[in-house]
Amino acid sequence: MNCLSTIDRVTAGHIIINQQDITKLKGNQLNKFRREELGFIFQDFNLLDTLTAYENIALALTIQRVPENEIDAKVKNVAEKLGITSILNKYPYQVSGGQKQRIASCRAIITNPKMILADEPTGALDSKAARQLLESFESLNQKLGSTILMVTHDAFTASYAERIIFIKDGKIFNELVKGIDTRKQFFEKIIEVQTLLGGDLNDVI
Amino acid sequence: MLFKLSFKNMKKSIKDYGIYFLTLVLGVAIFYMFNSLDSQEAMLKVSTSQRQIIQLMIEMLAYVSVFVAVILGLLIVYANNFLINRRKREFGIYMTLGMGKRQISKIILLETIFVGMISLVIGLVIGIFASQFMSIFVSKLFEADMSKFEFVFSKTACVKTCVYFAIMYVAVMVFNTFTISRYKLINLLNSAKKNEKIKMKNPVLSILVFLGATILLGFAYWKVTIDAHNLNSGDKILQVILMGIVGTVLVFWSLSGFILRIVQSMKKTYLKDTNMFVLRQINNKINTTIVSMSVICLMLFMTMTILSSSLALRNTMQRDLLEMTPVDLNLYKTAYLPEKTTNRSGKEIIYTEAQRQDSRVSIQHTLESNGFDMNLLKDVEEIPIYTDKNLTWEKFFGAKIEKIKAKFPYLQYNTPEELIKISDYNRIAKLYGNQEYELKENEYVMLCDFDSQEEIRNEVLKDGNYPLEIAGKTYIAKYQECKSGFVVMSTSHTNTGIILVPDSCNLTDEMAEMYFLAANYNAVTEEEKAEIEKIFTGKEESTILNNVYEKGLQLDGLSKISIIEASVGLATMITFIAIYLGIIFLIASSAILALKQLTESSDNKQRYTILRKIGCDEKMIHMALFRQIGIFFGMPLILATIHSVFGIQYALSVLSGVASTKDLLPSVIATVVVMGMIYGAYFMATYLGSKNIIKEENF
Repeated sequence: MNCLSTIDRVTAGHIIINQQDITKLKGNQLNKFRREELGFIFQDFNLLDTLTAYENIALALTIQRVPENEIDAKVKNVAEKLGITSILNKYPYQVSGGQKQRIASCRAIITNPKMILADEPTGALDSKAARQLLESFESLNQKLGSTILMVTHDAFTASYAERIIFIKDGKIFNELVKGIDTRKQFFEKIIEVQTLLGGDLNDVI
Repeated sequence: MLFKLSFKNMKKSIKDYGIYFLTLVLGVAIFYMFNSLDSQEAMLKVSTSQRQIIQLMIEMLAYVSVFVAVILGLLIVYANNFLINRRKREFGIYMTLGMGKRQISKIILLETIFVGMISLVIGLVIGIFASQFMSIFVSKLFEADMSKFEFVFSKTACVKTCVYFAIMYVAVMVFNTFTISRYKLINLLNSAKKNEKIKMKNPVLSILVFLGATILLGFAYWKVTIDAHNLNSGDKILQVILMGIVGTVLVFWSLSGFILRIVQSMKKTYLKDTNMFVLRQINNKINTTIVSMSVICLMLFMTMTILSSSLALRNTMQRDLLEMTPVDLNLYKTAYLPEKTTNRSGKEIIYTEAQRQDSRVSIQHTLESNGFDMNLLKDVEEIPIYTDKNLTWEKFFGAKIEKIKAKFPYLQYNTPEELIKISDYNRIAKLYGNQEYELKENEYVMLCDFDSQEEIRNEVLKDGNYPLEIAGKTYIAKYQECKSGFVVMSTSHTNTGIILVPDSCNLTDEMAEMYFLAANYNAVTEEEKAEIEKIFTGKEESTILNNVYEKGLQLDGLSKISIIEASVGLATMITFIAIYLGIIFLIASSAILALKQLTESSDNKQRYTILRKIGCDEKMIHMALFRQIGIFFGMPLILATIHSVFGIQYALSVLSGVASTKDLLPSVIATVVVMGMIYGAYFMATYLGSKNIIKEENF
């Protein structure tokens, strides 16, 4: 995940995003790439506690030097999509975990990134908030057509995805595609794979 | 083991210790430099005829040093406290490993001793070398004789520095032990997690408070400038000082909220780059730093005011000096001594026949008859100065005396006015290059250039044609104000009043109070002049002085050389103490700011990491950091500058007659340069240190 997000460097191999080999980018090119092509959602939100929700979202635009007359409309637009219009003037410490994560999501998508990287986005949320968030992701994916790459340990969270790649000990273990299944069917498939993933026969003595 | 641990700790936290260390070293060095002045060769060279002033200066510096030591002590305790707080977690880990509080105290004790010893040694070495340069600087600045250069080491200063700093370190140790003993393990371990609750102030309240503070400060400014003449008692001044302090605190309390509000309404600026972030950072942090910001601001204010006005004072004194010493020599001798008289303390003085005889002849005559070769002098002018027993200050003020007495109760109102015939005065004025006057038969002119005296005399003269009875005849004032001019040379404008009367005025010989002689030395080079000077000042070899002394003749005098020497000494003293205090204040405030910013940078590390994660490039992040620290350093500086503009004016009005605004510009420039260097150095050190702290290794 860190390699994908260009926060860390690979020691071998290449990462190609949108026909661009990001392992070859350096310094400010990397920052530029990260700023313009990627959006991040973290487990611990990474919101700036000194800024209001509105400002947290707007910051993603201002550092891209988006003209100030476009910012307001964009922020309000994206906030409406994720249902946080009412808390835009609150500080992160004044809102719940689920709301914080939605603010973070707004910040991630407002720049129209090619790809959104979500690292255990539901990790710090209760199940209700998690569901709300995942539903927002779903709509983002379907309505705005943004690619969301999510890392999770939770089968329920994973069941919202279209395609799942299981990784075990650093190696690709299995792949599932939702296809025409309902979410419930897909969830059961995931559980099956997870049981397999649980260990080899040798591990149980 | 503990030894090793504390040594390792120090090496590890060398970055944190950086500013603490820098401050200690600077403190030690400056303390040594100023206390070593007594043993500096250059200083003693100046002082052959003015040891007293040098002695006074050293004594004053000693007192000031105690004050400085207190400030430095507080600063060190403060800086140290920051370091301890930064390491709470570390201490927590020690405690979970079973280390007792005593042992932790011991670790810190060892560290304090380490840092203390090293900084003391380095500081002393720097101080010793810097004091060599200072002697050169001093001699250049104060026209002292710097013919031979010697490496000076002051043992007393060295010992004094060690003792004072040892006391400070002990204070730090006591303080640390006390702090540690209050710690609870749970708080130590959780200290990093403890999130500072972000208090947000009501923006409307902020604006109101800000306006209130501005009005308060404005009123204080008005008090010290336009209304300054009403500021004549201690508690009134205290009121203004209190207003200033409260105003300053309130400004810092409300400023960030106020600015935030303003900038927020300017969307274009607010929504640009990282402006929003920087502003919020400041708004967030300033709440916890109101007190220190105010203290820093006031200290900067004192530094600026002290440095600027003292340098202006020095410049004025030196400029006045040239104006006030137009000739090489002034001699004066009491005329017409009575047989006996009583002095101020009521003691009866009987004058001998020889004394009385001498008091009836001119100064020239006295000089010649006591073996002085008059050819050594040129441009000699001698005049009598008269007094009229019936014309005292009290008489002069006439009807307005009560009003003036209420204002200046301590003046000697029974002092007789000095009278000089106009032609006599014009001879002196011509020699001095001062303005000459003409009088009609019934006119007089009041000469006075001592500011406060001039003010009250003008009070009487302003009505015009002010009549005065002199030697039995009434004269009227030619001018509606005092004219400037003087007869006796001095270091500054100190003529409290001379009345010029027409030559026809009935002044008898008996009314002569003294004879006055002004002359130049009949010499070209400085060395020749110094030779003649010796006749009047060198006690042993001068026959004339011995004679005058033995016969108890009432002859006294002033020379240009001695006035300049005394004045240079005084100016040196004032400037020195001002520079000493100014620099200490400056170091103290810069260090506090720097430490605060550094600790905050480590708290802020996470915020900057987030910025980086959402795609800020390094340049932008550094810019944001630079602006954040810049604003923190800038805010107290700006307010202090505004304070100083008014403070300096007030300081100059208090020193009126001694310091003048004309000399302000160069001294302000000098102050700005000194401040820029020290403050700027701390600013850069803070910025670089913070940059280091927020830098991420794997990036």
